[in-house]
Amino acid sequence: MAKHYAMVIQLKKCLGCQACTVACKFENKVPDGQYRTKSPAIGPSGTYPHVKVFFEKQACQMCQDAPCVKVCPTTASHYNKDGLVLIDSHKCVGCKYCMTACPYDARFINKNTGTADKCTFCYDTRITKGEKPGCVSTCVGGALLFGDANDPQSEVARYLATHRTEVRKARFGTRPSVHYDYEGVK
Amino acid sequence: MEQETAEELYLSFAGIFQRPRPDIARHLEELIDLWAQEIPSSEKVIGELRDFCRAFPAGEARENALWGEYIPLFETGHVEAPPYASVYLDGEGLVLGREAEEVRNFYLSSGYGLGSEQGELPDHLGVELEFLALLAGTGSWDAAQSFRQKHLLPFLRVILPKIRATERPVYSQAAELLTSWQLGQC
Amino acid sequence: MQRRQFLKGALYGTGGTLVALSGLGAATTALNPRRVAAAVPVSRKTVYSSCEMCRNQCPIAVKVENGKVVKIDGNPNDSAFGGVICARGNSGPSLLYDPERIKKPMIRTGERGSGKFKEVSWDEAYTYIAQKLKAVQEQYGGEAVAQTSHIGPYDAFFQTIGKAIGSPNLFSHEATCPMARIIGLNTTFGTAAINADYANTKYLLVVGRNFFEGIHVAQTRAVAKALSQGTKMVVLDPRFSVLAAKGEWLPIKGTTDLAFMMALANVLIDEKLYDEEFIKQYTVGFDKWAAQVKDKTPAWAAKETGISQDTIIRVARELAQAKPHSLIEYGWRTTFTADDFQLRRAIMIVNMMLGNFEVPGGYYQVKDAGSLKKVPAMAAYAKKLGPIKAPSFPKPKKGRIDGTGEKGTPRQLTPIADGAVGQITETILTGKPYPIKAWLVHRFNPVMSIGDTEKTLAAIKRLDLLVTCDLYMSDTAYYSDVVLPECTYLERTEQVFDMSGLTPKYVLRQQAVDPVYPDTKPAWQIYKELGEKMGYGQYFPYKDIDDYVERQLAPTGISRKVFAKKGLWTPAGMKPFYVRSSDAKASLTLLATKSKKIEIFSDAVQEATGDGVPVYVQYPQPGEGEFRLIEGKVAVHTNVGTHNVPVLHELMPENTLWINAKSAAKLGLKTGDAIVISAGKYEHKGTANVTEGIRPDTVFCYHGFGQISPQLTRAFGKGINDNKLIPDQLGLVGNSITSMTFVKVRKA
Repeated sequence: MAKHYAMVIQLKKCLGCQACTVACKFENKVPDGQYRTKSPAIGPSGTYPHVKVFFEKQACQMCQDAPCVKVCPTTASHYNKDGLVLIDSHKCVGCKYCMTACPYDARFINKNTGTADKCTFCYDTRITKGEKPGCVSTCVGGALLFGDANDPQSEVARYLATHRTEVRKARFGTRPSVHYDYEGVK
Repeated sequence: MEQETAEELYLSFAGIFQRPRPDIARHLEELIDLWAQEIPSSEKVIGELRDFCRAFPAGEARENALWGEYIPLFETGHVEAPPYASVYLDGEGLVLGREAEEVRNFYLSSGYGLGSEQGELPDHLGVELEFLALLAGTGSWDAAQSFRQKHLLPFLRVILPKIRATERPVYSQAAELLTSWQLGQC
Repeated sequence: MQRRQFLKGALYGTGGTLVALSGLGAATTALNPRRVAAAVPVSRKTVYSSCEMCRNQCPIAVKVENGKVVKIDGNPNDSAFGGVICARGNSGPSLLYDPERIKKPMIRTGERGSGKFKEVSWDEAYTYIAQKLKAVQEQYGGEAVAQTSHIGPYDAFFQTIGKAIGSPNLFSHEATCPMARIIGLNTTFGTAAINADYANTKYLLVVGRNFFEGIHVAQTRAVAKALSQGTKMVVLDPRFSVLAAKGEWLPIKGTTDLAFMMALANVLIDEKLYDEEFIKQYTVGFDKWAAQVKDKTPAWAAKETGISQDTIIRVARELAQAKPHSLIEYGWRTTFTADDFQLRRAIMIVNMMLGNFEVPGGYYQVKDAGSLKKVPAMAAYAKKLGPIKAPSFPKPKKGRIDGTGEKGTPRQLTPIADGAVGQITETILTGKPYPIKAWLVHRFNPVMSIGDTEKTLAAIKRLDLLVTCDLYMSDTAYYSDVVLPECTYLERTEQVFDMSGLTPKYVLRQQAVDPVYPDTKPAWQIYKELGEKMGYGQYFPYKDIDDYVERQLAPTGISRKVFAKKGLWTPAGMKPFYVRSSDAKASLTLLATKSKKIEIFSDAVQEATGDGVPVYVQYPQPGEGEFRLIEGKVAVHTNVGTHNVPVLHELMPENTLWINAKSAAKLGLKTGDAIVISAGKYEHKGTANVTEGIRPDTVFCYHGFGQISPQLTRAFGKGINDNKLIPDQLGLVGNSITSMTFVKVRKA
């Protein structure tokens, strides 16, 4: 069966420490001042002393019905065989249609290449070598799970089967492969 | 331009943009004579350089004055214009990037390596200029043209305006003269 | 033609940077073969080493491609890390390849603080330092030389200089950070090598520490693991830290933590919830403690701390219910008050009332070679590192300037290896008890780390010599006479260091790449060479660091190859060892106190301070219109050391002042407003961050911002330098005091 790589983010375990943010920059040679992933604070909310804050890792949601792929005039944005949305930078002309289409604001024009850029789940550098994405490997709080959602034995598949998770902006019908577990933070 | 003049000019700028050294400092007047003679330039720039020589007669005072400009301009801490091409051309603001690697390989392919004595990075402005002097001196015009187009000019286009903007004595004038000679503008 | 001869001579002669590889040009410089080899396409390797983006020395795996560091991961061979490393550790290449690093030794040419330097050769720098030090030594005595470092492997070399000169005045930074805890542990357990088993605890009470922003990867992961297994966590902190967000936040009034501890003890005794058997078998002096807390009721503590009586009672009961797998965290930066060490003692005493020593989820004595040797069944796992034999140092002619070690005074408790670093500036300015004329600084930034920045700058101006060795032109380097460039941790090998926990563990920092800037050097080499220049070669009796490591490993039988292959050594087959896990009555033969008991009442503390058990001291609280200024760490920076590292600066370039929403409303402040923070003598500009996450009587900023060296281009002048506002005030045992400053805030 074809693979479907997916990620689960357990918000209550995320410390907002940005280890993933920095790991990603070096793993993927992301230019100065640009990011494929970031984990901003949501909050604080509430009134002293009853306060809450959590951190929400943001990056490409690896939609299975991806607006960026639909609008790409050169087919640079595409689905690969393992269910990931990737960009063929040789085909990208930097038209920014995808950036406008993405509801998650996950894309940017790479200052060095002049082409669209975003999270790839570290497909070329790690996944294909059997490793987990750079962010998952370095997560200090242990908040990130990654694997093949089509394999019922995988950690993500088992987690998704037993926990209530959400996808961001479900109303857009993009069917993301990144799942958020808000238990304990909302 | 004659082979010898080109070699001399490259050497003179290499001498200025490398770390201040007693022999270069001592012979600064001769470099200024060379520039006045070979580079169409305003009298103002040459005048400013001569003023510096008068204010700081050859010797320790002049060397210290050059250090006083060189360190904040190129070297440590408040670096106004890092003298390494990678910092600008690789997009990450760091040294020893791809550009440095390519420049080093170019040196190797032309039969040159970096000496361990001076301990400089391959893409230091002064080293690139020294390399072109070596090529000019041996009449390797094709290699010189290729190196100039691929490496030196893109570097000069970003760094020379920065050096000129600092208005630091000697260095900003030398940058102006080098701009005039290499980039054909004042 | 004359011109041409000169230029050719200058640049093609000895001065050239390029050399011909095959007879082209006039090569006189030997080709560096390593550099040529590096040009061969794609060679990849992983070097196991240890991080130094902070002082915790976490094991790392450095990925090197063609001689270049491309990525740093946690060392997967160490289960405490599991391949994980924090944001700072991840940012290592950004430091390594930063064009702003110091690249050559420099000597000041302009006025102090003018920022004017010239570069010199190492030999010139050594000669200059040696001459100046000799002059100070002759005129004022060796004791007039002070040395400070952060604390780390370099001390074995750096401090040798001062010891050889005959100076007693060697200081670490500990007094500005964990020293009160170290003293609390020393005086209770006879050793500070006491760790907590966070991962297995069922209930965790944290007193002001912030594991999730002041990150220690192994400990942070352990706490995160405990939480994910359902451990309850309660956090005492005037500010809503990230840690507080993951547990129950109790916004305690500043400097009243001891009241909370005493009330816990009061409840545990009153309700007979403490581990009486444990106290009887293993401790001395409990009756005196019981007497001390007799009137420290929850009702009393509620008034002191601002935490309700019910909450205090509930926390005490919950701790007791989970005992012995419950623990009260003993703190990281322990500089809250003048007698902070007594708070740390009180915390440990209440812990012992929970009987949580040498059991899973409690405290334990570090199982290094030294302590394991005292446990017969485990002695075989003890592999003691070999000593580096050197002649003994001359005995200093005078006592220390901070009174460390003086019997019958609180400073008898101060560890001689640390001292009260905050004393140095006072002594320089007053000449009391005797003059300090030279100051050597290694990887420490007193201008930003000792209270009262202006005072430190004034003191620096009075010195005959200030030498700083660092990676960056730090605030202190900027004011120095000589600046020495150390290479980064990725460019050097260091001695084996002991990271033992529940089992012994040795880690080796191993050079991953050649120095990026070839004239930077490792500390061991710098101080060995300086020592040799000064005629102290006999104190550095090893050829180089490899020789040093070999001598350390020789008696252990551990091969250096183990480190090349895995980066660390732990004894094969040994399980985490808690002395009391299977036998609650097991004898604690490894205890390091003279009495062989845990000293709730400490004779040493009694002798030093008159208070053999902790006694409550009530400190002032902020008045109307005043705020207590507190400070803390952020996950992406270390102390004052990383704010100029490009990628970390990009993540957090500036700090703000947290102020409670109600308090801000009274002052008419909104988030983003420009403000002035006034501590009376000094003021500082800043930006307001109006939040519900802080007590109304407290303001907070992250530490290390607002740096004053204009040569830290990125960090210069950005944000609030809390250190300018906090006075250089020392506690009983010499700890800096950082939580007792009151400020006023107004719109700028």
